[in-house]
Amino acid sequence: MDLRFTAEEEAFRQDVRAFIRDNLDPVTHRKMVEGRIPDREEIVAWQRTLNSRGWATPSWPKSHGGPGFTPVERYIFLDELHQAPAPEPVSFNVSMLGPVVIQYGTPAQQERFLAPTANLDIWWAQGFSEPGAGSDLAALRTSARREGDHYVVSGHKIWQGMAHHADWMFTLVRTDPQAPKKQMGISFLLIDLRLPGVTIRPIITLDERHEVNEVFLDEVRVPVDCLIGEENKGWDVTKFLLSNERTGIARIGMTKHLIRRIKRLAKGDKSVLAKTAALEAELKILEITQLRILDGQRRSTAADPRSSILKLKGVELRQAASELLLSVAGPSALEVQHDDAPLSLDDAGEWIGSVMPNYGILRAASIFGGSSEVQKGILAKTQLGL
Amino acid sequence: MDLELSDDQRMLKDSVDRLIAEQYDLDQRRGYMIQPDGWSAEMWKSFAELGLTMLPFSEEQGGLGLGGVETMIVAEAFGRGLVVEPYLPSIVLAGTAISEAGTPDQQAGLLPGIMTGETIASLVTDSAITARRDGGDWVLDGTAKVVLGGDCASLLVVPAGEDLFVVTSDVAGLECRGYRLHGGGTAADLAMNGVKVPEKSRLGGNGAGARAVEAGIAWLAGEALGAMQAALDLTVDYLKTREQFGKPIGVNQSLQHRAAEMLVEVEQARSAAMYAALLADEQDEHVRAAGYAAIKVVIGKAGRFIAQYAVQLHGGIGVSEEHLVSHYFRRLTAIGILLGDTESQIARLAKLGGFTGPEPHFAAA
Repeated sequence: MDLRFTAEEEAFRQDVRAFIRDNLDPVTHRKMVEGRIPDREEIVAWQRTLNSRGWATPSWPKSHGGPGFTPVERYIFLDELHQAPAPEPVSFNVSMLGPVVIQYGTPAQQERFLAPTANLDIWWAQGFSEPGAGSDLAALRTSARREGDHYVVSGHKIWQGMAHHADWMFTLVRTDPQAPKKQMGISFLLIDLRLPGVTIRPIITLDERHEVNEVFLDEVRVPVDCLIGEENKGWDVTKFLLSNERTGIARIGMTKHLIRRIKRLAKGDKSVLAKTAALEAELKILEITQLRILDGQRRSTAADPRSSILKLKGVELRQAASELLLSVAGPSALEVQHDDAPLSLDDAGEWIGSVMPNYGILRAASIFGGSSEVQKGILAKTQLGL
Repeated sequence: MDLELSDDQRMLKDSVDRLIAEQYDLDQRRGYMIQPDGWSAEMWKSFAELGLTMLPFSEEQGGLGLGGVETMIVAEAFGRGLVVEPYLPSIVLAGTAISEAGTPDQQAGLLPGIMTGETIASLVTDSAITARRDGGDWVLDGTAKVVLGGDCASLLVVPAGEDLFVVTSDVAGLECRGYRLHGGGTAADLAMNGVKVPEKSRLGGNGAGARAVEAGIAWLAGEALGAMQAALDLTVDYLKTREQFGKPIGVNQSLQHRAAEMLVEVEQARSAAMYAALLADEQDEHVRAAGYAAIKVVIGKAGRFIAQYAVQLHGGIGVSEEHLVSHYFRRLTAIGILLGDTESQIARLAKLGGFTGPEPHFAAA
């Protein structure tokens, strides 16, 4: 047994760190340090910077324009981004849609979509959830009926993160309302958001920010060549998408960044530092859990149900860190400030304007991507046989 | 990176697991605990015959020269069996202290008896004992509480000032009050009044006491893991078989979720035990100190969670002395307290600065 990274892996970590330090725009970096959300242009610029280095799509194989990272390299790469902190490659593009197109897309679809997806020439939104289909995703009702070379799509999608930045949306639609099981009548469709009949409305979240949206589809005519995989087999594609890319799901590097901020604000306060240490102890051991699961991935590429453990514990610790950061920031954190407040590019002070909003919006981390309750159900069933 | 057991390690695991499965069920354990010393001399002999008492000592010392991972394998099995024989005090704590601090001559004099199991040794880990010079020799005074295995040890390793001293339990001026511990095993409170120790029984210092405590924490992490996994297994089994309202109670979602939360903590404990095993080879003292503090925090917290909910999910039978789960409850509680409880380890980790500094990531590079 050996926990150590190889010399090559350590060298790779240094390369990534140096690349981020030398190439990340200082304004974008400052925003990330302070917990603000970068603008669309900043995120696009960073994605293209990564792409020019061949790193924009960490989980894609070399055969499809990816860097062909090993699971360990992927982990190191994401960990460095999280700790820097720097924006991750846009997950809708890179972790969700890209692998689906690689796995299920036709050569023509791969040719059409993969390169623009990597370069963020197309920004993707995820069109899965509906008002009546959250954890029970297969209950979705958005319908698509075939008319010649088009699907005519109508329905109401909700919780589209950053869809106001997006050009296209990958969407689950019901193509066979008569199917014997609700999972069997679903198809995976790509929708150009500029098509007539598409309306995007903002949902303002409890942090008073505009991050998510709802998307209304009213008789939208989608060409049939935008179907991914077979008609009515979209659930298989969905399961593939959801089981994909669990690397870095614990977001340990992000929690470390919060811990750094807590320690800067704590100014030696012993009681805060004790609470921080309690968190750090668990985080350190979660890193080992993460490495164990990575080590398992070297042997088998199958989805590992133990990644639910990473999600549960990772979110628990990140939420606890954000709570501690709020506590150490004190009552001044209640002053309503927004991400567009003037930026200081030096390290003179800690801007705490984002602390309360981020504490609030981080509640969503135990809800999206399979809520904590869903994760516990998965563990009870798959690992304990309950 | 490689987190799998080697073939040899798997073989060791099989044989230790088999011994525990065959020789250490609850009734057998009860039989061992009513022996005069509170543990079974015969069982101890079986451990020695299997080579377990020689396991962590180097080949130059006459041992098997195995490392942290092998020790963890033994600890995990002992945790599952709730083994009460004095492996932790004699082999892990005193053995490590003597290996780390003793000269080759001192080791050659002290270790063979410990490795064969004939000598039981014990390490004082928390003491208010002072040493003063008396001509060429030394005099020890003071008291120590809850010395693990201290009631049955014939050899005591005692930290005083900068050094470790070895005294025999029959030395003049030593009073020893032995007792059983909740959760199994025995300990003693010691009082030393003018105990004379010759210079040749003074081991060096060099942080050997701290190294021994780290080895002890690694052992406890393995033991805790074995106990936690066993407590979870018992609990899951109970959820599947215990029926109320005409159904197994495990169909209830609240109980399923609690069991899943227990699994998360057991896996964290597994990571902690593995980290503890591998950290033994770390040369950087600060990294080791912080690491073992974190390990003890996590097994303390996880152990408490598992212990409490294993009992809770068993319902009434869980609080009965007759049921195995109540024994895991007590041992896990004890493990959380021994060798520095959770609160003191948190304070220690905070004092060491934790793992992540206040400085930005790039500055830390």
